[in-house]
Amino acid sequence: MLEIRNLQAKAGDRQILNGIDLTVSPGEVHAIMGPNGSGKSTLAGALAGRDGIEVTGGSATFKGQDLLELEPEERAREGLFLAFQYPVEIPGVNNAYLLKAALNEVRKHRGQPELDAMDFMTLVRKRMSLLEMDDALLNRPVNDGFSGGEKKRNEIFQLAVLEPTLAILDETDSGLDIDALKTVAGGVNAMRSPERSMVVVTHYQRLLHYIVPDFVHVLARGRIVKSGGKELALELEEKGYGWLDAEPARPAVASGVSLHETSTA
Amino acid sequence: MQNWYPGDKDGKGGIYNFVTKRGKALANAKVTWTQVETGSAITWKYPSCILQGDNSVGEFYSVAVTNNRQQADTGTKMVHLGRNTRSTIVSKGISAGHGQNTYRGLVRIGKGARGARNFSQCDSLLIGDRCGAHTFPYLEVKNTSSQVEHEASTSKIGEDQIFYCRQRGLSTEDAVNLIVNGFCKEVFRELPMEFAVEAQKLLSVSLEGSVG
Amino acid sequence: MPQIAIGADSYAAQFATLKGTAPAAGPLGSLRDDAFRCFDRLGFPTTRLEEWRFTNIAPIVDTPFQAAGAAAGSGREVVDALRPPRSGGPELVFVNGRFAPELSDASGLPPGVRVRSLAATADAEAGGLDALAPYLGRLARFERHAFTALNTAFLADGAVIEVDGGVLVDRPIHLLFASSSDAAPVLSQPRVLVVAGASSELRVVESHAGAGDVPYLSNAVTEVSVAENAVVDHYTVVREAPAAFHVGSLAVRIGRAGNFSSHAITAGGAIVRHEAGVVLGGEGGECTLNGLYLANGRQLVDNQTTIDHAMPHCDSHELYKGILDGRSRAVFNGKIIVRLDAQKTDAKQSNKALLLSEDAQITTKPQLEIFADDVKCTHGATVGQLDADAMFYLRSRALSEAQARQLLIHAFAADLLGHIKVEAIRRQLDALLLERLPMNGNG
Repeated sequence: MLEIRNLQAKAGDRQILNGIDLTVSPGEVHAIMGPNGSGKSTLAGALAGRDGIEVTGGSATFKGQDLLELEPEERAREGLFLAFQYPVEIPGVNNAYLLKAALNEVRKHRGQPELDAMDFMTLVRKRMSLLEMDDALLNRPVNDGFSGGEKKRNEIFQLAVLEPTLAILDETDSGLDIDALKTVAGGVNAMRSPERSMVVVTHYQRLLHYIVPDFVHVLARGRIVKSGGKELALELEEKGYGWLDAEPARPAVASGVSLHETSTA
Repeated sequence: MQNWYPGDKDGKGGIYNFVTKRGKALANAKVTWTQVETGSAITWKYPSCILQGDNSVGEFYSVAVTNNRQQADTGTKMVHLGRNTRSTIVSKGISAGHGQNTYRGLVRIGKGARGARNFSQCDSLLIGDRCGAHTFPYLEVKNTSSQVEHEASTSKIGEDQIFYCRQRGLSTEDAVNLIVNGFCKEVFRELPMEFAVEAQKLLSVSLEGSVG
Repeated sequence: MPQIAIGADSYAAQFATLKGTAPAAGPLGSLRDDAFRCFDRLGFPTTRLEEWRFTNIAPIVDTPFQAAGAAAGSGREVVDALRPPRSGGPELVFVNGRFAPELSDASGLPPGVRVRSLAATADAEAGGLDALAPYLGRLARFERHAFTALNTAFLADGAVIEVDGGVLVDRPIHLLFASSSDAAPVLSQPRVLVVAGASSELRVVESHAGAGDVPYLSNAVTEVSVAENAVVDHYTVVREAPAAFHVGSLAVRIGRAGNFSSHAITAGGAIVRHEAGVVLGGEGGECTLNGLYLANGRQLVDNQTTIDHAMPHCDSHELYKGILDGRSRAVFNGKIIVRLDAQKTDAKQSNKALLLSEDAQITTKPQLEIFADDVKCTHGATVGQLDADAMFYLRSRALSEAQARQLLIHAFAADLLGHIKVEAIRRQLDALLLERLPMNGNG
C-alpha cells in the first residue's frame, strides 16, 4: 500500500524529516507518536503534498506509484485522505457541496458513474449517523464557525463518505473531550477494513485506547526511533517522551513486522 | 449580464462601458436590479432606485469580476422618499490579477421617509496580491425613525483553502470556482435558473489562470 | 477621595490584625504581603478608570466590611436553603469563604483527583502549598487589580482541585460559596484554584449565593490552569442576596490543544461584576466564554472579558446575553488581543441584550487589539426589545401576553442553555428565567 524509504523533507528552511522508513500494508493501522516538533505533521503534509514542505531525499510509493510525483488532487483521487490537524474554513462554500464535488471527482477517477443528488444524500445520511453529526452541519459553510470538536468530526465524516484506501489522521484527537474522542474513534473504527489502511498521527496515547493500532512507531528528531506493537503505546504512556532524548536514532526493529531495515543513520 | 471584450492580459484594447440606469417605484411597487459584470476594460455603472411611493421596495444584487488589468466601479443609489420604503443592497466584488474593483453606493433617506429601512452588504474577494478592492458606501439619513445597516468584508482566497480542496480531490481550478461561487451565492440565488448556470460558467472563464 | 482612604485604612487595620493572629509563613506569607501592598497602592477603582467607567462602586467603598473570620457563620439550614440542585458529584461548601467540612461531601472521586480546602492543603504535609506555587496568585495577577489584591492579601482558605494527567472526572465537582452577614457587613472572599493536568478532563460548578438583608461583599477569585490537551468546563452561578455585592475574577491559562469553556450566569446582587481573563498560551487551544446576565430593579451587572491569543491556531468563541428589566443597568466589555505570533486565530465575540423596560440600560464595548495579519476576528453587539410582531403573532394564537413574553424570553436565551452540559444547572436556569421575569409588564 504505502512504502516510505529514507524520506527526508524540509519545512520552510528547516530540515525536519531525516530519513523515515515505513511500510503500511492493506488493512493495517499504524500509529505514529512523538513529542511536539518531532516531525509528525511534516510527514503527513509531505505525503499529502502540502505546499511549503519540500522533499529533499528518499522515496514514497503508494499502490506501486511514485507518490511524490503526483499533484495533491491526484493523490486524493488515488485514495489518499488526510484528516487535517487544523481543518480549513471556507466561508460561503456549503459543506455538502464540497463533499459531493470531491466524491464525484474520486468516483470519476475510479471509473464509477457520478452520484446524483438523491443517491448522494442517502450515502451522506448513513455516514452522518455514524458520527452522530447534526444535520445542520451539512448545510453550513465548510468548517466555518464550527467548534474544534465539530471540525474534527467533519474530517472523519468526509473520510467516511470518500472511502479512501489510505487515511492519514493528523492529530485528530488533540483538544477533544472524551465524548467527542469516542465518537471520532467510533467513526474511524467503522471504516476499518481489510482493504483500507490508516496512519494515525497522535501526540497522546489515549486515542489508541479507542483506535487500537497494529503497529506503533515513535518519531523523534525526524526519524523513527522505535517501533513495536500496541503495547509500545502503553509504555510511552508510563514513561512519557523524555527518555527519547537519550535514545539514539536507530533502524526500527520489531517482530512480525512491516518495517524495513534502513541504512541511513 | 455584461461581458464586453475586456482587452488582453496587459490591458491593451477592450471596451469602456459607462451606463446609467434608473428605476422609479410608486406606492407598493418594487424595483430590482440584478447584474453580473465580467467584461469591459473599464465599467462604470450605477443602476439606481427612486423609492418615491410609500411602502415601495428597491433591490440591488451585483457580482463584478475583474481580472488582468480590468477596472470595475459599480454600485447603486437608493433614494428613499416615501414612508416605510425598504431597500437591500448585496454587492460582491471579485478581483484577480491586477484587477481593481470598487463599490460606490449611496443610501439617501429623506426627511419624509419615516420608517425606512436599508440593508447593505458589500463583500470583496481577492485572488492573488496584485489586485485591489475598494468600498465607498455613502449613507445620508435625514430622519430618526429609519434603520440603516451596513456590513462589509474583504477576504482572500488562501493557499490553505485551495490545498484543502485539492486534498479532497478537486483540481486547483475547480477549487477556485467552488470558493468563488460560494462567495457569490446570495446574488446568484436571485437570478433565473438558466442565467445562474451561465453566470457561473462566465465567472470561471473570466478567472481562468488566475491561480497557480 | 476621602472615602477611599477610609476604606483602605479599615482594611489596613484588619490586615495588621490578621498578621498578628493568624500569620502565614513562607511563600503564602510573602504573597499576602505583596498583595496587600498592591491593594494599598491601588485603592478601590473609580469610574475614572476605563475598566470601571460605567460601574460606580461607591456603595462598596462606603460600607465598612469586616473580613470573615475562621468561624463559619451560617448553619446548615441557611446553606440548605441556598444549595443549588446538583448532579450527584462531590460538593464542597464554604461559608463566608471558609471551608465547612460538616456540610461538604468530597467522596466518590476517582483516583488521581484531589479536591480539598486550601487550609487543609497547606496543613496536609510539609510544603503542601509548594506544588501550587506556580499557579496560586500567579494566574490571577493582582498588581493592577485592587479586588484581586484584596482577596489575595487575606488568603486563608478556598477550594483546591487538582487532577492528575490523563484522569477523567465524569461527575461535575460542585463548590458552594454561601455568604451572609449576621450583624455587621461581612467581607467574604471565596478563592478557587483548579489545576488540570495534561489530557485530563473535568467539570466544575461554582455557585455563589447568600441570604439576609445586611449587605455583604463576596469578592471571589478563581484561577484555572488547563494543561496540554486538557478539557475544563467551568460554570459560575451568581445568585447573591438582593442587598449584597459580588466581584468575581476568573483567570485562566490554556496550554497546547487545551480546551476551556466558561458559562457565567449572573443573576442576584445589588452590584455584580464578573471578570473572565483567558490566555491562550499554546498552539491549537480553544476557549469558549458564554454568559447570561439577568437584572431587574436597580441592579447593576457588569461583565468584563479578556481573551489573549498569544499563540497560533487558537479559536475563541464568546457569546454573552443579557435580559434587563426595571431600572437595571448592565455593562459588557469584551477585549480580544491577538498577539503578533498568533496567526490563524479565529475569534468570535457577540453580546446581545434584551431590554424589557424603557428604563433598563446597557453599555457594551467590544475592544479588539490585533497585531497579527492572518486572522479572523468578528464581533457584534445587538440591543433590542421583545419583537412586537412576534408578541402579536403568539397572542393571536391564543397565548396570554405573559406566556408570549416568557416564550420569547426563553427563546432568546435558548442557545446559551443548549451549551450547558450539567443538567442540574440547566434546570436551575430554566426556573430562574421563569422566576425572575415578571409575568406582567415592566415589574
